Amino acid sequence: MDSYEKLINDAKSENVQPNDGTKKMKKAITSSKWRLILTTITVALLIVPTGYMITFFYYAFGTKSTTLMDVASNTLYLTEPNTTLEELEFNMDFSLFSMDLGFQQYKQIGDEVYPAKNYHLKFVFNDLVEKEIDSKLEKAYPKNPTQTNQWLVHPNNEMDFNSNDEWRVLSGLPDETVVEAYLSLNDLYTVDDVEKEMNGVDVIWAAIYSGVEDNLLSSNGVLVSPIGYPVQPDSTYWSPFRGSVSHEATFLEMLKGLVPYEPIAEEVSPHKNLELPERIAYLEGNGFKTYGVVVTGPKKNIEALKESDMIRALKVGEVKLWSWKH
Amino acid sequence: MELETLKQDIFRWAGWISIVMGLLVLAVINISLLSGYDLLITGDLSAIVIVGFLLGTFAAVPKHSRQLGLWGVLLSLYTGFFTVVIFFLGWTISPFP
Repeated sequence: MDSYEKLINDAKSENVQPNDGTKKMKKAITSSKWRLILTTITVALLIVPTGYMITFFYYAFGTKSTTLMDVASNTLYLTEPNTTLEELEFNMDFSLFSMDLGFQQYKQIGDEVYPAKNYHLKFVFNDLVEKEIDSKLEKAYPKNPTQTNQWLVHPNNEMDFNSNDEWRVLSGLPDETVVEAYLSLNDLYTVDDVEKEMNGVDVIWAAIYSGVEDNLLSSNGVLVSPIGYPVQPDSTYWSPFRGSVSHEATFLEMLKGLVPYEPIAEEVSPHKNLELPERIAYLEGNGFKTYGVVVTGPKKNIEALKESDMIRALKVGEVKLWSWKH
Repeated sequence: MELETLKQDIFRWAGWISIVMGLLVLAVINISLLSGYDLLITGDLSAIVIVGFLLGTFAAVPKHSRQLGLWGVLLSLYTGFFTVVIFFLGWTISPFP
């Protein structure tokens, strides 16, 4: 081999080295490029499932989903006259950091139970951010409560409606109807006394005096909602009053249970303020007296109550065709 | 030398495939969660998770492809953990059938 051939061979072997290096470098660049892309995709794809797991952990171990459901249902039992809820009508859906709760509220009119309102509540964690109510009622309770627009009125408070007009409306109804009536009393009575007085009708719900209903203002001047409890024995599996020996005791227990969740209860309720601690203290010190009740029964039997000395005013609620089986 | 390179490539490819399978399952989970439709991690998807896990474990043996293998294994484990958490906590937080 002459020196020229040797030079050519050396040059060739030198050329091979950089080619190999370039190839390896290209491979390394491609590999790290893919690693970067897949790392980014991995992180992006982990966000939603991790968010869901956080959501599920929160509703299992933080503010429990069942607690929010109980707060919503108990609030309605205590603040909405003549309310009952069905367990199987509850619909619960979970999405990222939020929970949707849907359920139906019922009313007893005569001997039948009718759907009254559909509720759809959306919670982000434990904050109620959306509330949709679809009412099926013909006579809707005032949406924005004031001191005087309630249908159950304390003896010392004024009322917006004309009770004589309501009695006239009642007398004009056909005899074959059953009626839901809101009866305001002229004094404070025990629920037992009221039940004894109301013959031929079912006393469904009693508004309980908790020291603030004279003018519906709390001690710090805030407009509060009326509260009360269902009077009839409730065998519905879901009801907090199921198997209750004393509805008064269950009522007080429910009020105490709502205290830690009062802001949520106030958002769920159509009435904006509950002021529970002040009212619980009054009830514990003074007992349970009612100033107004919701009754249902045949139109004629309710009309007969006009003669009762106990009744101050009447407001006619829902009216349905005959369903009285007593 | 050539055989050694081929072996290295096989492990490396096993790692990459394991990662892609893990990401594919995660993508389906994301679509399911965001669309609101129940696409249960059963049948084909659980098979993909298992194959991804096995490939990842295989790739994690040699040092040069260990990182890729572990990545694939962790994705499969995450999917399994997610499924267990959602299934059991789902029973706890929703008392209705």
